[in-house]
Amino acid sequence: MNRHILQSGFRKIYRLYFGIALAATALILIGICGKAGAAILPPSGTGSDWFIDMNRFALSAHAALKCDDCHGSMTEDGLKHTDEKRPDFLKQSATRAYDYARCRRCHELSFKRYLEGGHAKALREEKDPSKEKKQVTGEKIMAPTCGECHASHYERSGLSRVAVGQRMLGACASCHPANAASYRNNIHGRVGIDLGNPKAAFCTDCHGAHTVDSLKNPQTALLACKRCHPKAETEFTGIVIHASLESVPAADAPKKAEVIWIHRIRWIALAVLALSLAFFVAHSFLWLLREIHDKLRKH
Amino acid sequence: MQATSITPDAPIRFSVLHRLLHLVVMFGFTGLAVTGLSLGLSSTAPARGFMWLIGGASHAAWLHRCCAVVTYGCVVIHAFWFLYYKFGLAGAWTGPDSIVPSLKDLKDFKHHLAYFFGLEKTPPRFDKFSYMEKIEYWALFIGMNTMGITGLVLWYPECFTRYLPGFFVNLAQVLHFYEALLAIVVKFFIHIGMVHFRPEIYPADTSIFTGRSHTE
Amino acid sequence: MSAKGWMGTAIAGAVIILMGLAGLSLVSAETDALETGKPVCLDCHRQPNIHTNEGVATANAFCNGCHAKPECRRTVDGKAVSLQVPVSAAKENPHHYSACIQCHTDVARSPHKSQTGAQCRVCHSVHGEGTAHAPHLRVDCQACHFKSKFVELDPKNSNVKLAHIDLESKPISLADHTLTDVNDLKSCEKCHFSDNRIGAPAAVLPSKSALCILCHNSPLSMGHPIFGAAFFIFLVGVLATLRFWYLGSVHGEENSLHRKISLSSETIWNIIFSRQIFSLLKMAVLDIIFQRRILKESVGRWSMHSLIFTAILIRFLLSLFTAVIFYFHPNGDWAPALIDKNSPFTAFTNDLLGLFILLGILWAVVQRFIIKPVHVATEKQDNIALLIIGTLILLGFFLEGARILVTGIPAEMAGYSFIGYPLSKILSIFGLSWKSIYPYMWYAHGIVGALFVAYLPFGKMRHIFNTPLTYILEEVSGVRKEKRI
Repeated sequence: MNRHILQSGFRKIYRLYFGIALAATALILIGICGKAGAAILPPSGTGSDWFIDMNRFALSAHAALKCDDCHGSMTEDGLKHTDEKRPDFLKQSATRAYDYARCRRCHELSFKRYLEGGHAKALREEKDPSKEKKQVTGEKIMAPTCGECHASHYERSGLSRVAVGQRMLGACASCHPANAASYRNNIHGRVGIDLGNPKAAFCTDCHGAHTVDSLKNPQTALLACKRCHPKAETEFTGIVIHASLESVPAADAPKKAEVIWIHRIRWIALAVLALSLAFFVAHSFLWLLREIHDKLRKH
Repeated sequence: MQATSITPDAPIRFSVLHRLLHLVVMFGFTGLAVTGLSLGLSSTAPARGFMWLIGGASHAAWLHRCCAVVTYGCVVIHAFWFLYYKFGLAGAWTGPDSIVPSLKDLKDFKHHLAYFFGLEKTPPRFDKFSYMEKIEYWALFIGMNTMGITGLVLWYPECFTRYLPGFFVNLAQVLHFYEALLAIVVKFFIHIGMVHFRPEIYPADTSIFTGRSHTE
Repeated sequence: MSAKGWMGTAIAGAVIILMGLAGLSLVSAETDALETGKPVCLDCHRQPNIHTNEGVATANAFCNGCHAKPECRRTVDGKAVSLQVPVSAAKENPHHYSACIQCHTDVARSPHKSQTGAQCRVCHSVHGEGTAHAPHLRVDCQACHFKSKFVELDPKNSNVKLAHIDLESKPISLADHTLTDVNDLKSCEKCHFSDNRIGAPAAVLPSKSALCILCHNSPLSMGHPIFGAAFFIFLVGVLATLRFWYLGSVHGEENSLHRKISLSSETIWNIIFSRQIFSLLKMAVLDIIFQRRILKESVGRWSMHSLIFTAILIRFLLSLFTAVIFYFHPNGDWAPALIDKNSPFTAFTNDLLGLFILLGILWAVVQRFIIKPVHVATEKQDNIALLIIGTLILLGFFLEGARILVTGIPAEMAGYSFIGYPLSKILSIFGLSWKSIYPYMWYAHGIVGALFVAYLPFGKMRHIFNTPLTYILEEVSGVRKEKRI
């Protein structure tokens, strides 16, 4: 008698359990289809920028500044603002034309770090006439100055680590889309950007704020790893964070080979997955059909 | 409704140890699947919602590792039991009661396929374990160890990169994800579906919980 | 007071007076700026609120500062191209009260150059199947709605867009914003003529019909008269069948048709609001959707029948779903993807389900004409049904292949149509003018489709209604299970 009660109790429990487990799995699988938009906020400075959205400006870090604190009198170099006779009238990017040395007045240390870093180096090479030939490849991407990454009219201060990280990824992605994509696919990006965990590493945590180091040197990279993984040793830097072919520079042949191996293993794993599932699904489907048929026959 | 016709003195199919292991693995595996999938599909809304519910990625990582230790512990206990059964109790390595694949499984498979396509009137008479159960058992055994090893690499990358090239961690991550996906689909859909929802057995086969076999 | 004290007072007074003067001069400086009309930054650079009339006026005044002047032009290949937007024409334009930057969302910046073009879909949704066939999803709005006659294929995404050059490759101005009357079918002929360069069929085809919803996403209109005729025949057939059914007696009533109808409707009402409806619903799911009774007969027959029936059913449900999604949420991610025959999901699903139907038909044909088992009695009616559905599907696939060939969709996009794309390659071997043949193929598929609908209540396909009805009647009248066929 007791055993029967126990049995029915078991059945209730496991039915409930299976119900919950199936529903949870189904929910997550549905999620693949209705892939919700990523949590990344777009860099706030793009789009039409002749007009200043005063509501957003009033909330920004620079809200206390007046126009001419940054823009001067707009009659410098003996030229008046909106001079239609100028040859580059309306043709030059306003972001490129701005003299970012003006930022230095308030952001001296950041500016110095920028000057030491990879972006400033690229800018110097870009302006160097002797190296001009190297630059003309594909889409014209120019080395960034302050305004390429920071929307100076709207950038807010005092944001949380995760919010800054998410915005930062948007800014970096505008020139390094492949690296941003591979980072988002990596554990650091998933945990930081998608799941909003402040312990995750965001772009500048490894590559440095304004110094933008490419981390090609394993010893420099190791220092970055050790911020969170204190027990790491040199080979730890061999873990590929940006594991896609597009985000590995063409010159780095060994890393390219590694990424190719990762791809091969992924394809093999995918093939094993697909074949096993095809076998299991087809086998079960045929079995069910035949058994239902037999059962219907019996009745 | 054959499930209700179990009599208290029906032959025992699963010992108490096996029932207990199955129950623990059931919860452990579900925990692993839910937390793991939430990381694997982290850009989707349900995954983010679930992560929020359990308190973020750090909690999920902790939960995932707890479940992993418990589940893999069951695998180890089972392996010890297997050795004890084969050597201590002198269980046969081959024959109708063994889980080891044999030639009869191939014949059964051919016979079963013929039955599916209507070429045979009746399904084959399986031994104690059918070929499907054997496939599932050994696939699970291989899978559990793959998951365990790759999971350990991902848990302690600092330690493993002392002996292995760094990109092996990436390979471990790839294998861990696809093996997990396979295990989840096979366990949650094929295993549950074919064990409980076949017309022969529907609505439920309780023998893994009661231990009693209901056949014959 | 001592002399020292006087000195102090005098200095303090002087300071106060000086400060006052300084303040006065400041005030006068500000009034100067207002009076002399010297611009202040935010006069121009404050973002106008283009959701208000005032904001639209301000925003457009900014743009018109240059674009209203006749000298607003640029030079392309040594030829001046006007960029003057004619204000007089704009007044007749439905967009006259919208801000320029409402549509031209990314032009108000330096460099003054648009990456995205005018954004119509900020306000407007894509057209449904009734207004424009799905292939037009790859045509820019302006290509149809603007007056310019010159269109070209965009090499980037192979969309059809307005060209910046005329047929002699001379640059032209697109500054005229007047809209074309698209209800005049003559305006379609700028693409739909036999020698067009953009992959349009040589003739303007009518819209699909509501009847096509059995397999395709369709509008809520009857479309071409052929479909109207088919629907009429279908209705006549249904009415004749009903009339035939009511020839018998209902609940003992032999003569009065009125009594028969009221008695039977009474019965239906009572069943719907009785407990029996649950067993009926269960029966409907198992026997009608899942086809339990056919599975009881044979796994093979079930598989064959399900290939045809379930595939058509899913296509029907998908079309209904598309219609509902499009009605409620035309600007979401789903509606355009479901309507667009080139979107991966739709292309793949349609081809797969079409293939299922075709396989089911082929299986039936092989059973009837080659294997000829004893239990399969071949009737003429069955063959007609197989012929109609088979032809319909085959024509559908060839039509799809021709569409892919004519519109020249690149392989990476068309590859999801895993039958249509290889067919398009095979068709391309024959150096025919597919642009001119395509309309005939479309009509052929449409006519066979109409034939299918018209034939539904007459021949073999009557079983689509008869069989479920028999099941329901059996369930209601409680025919014992053993007696069921």
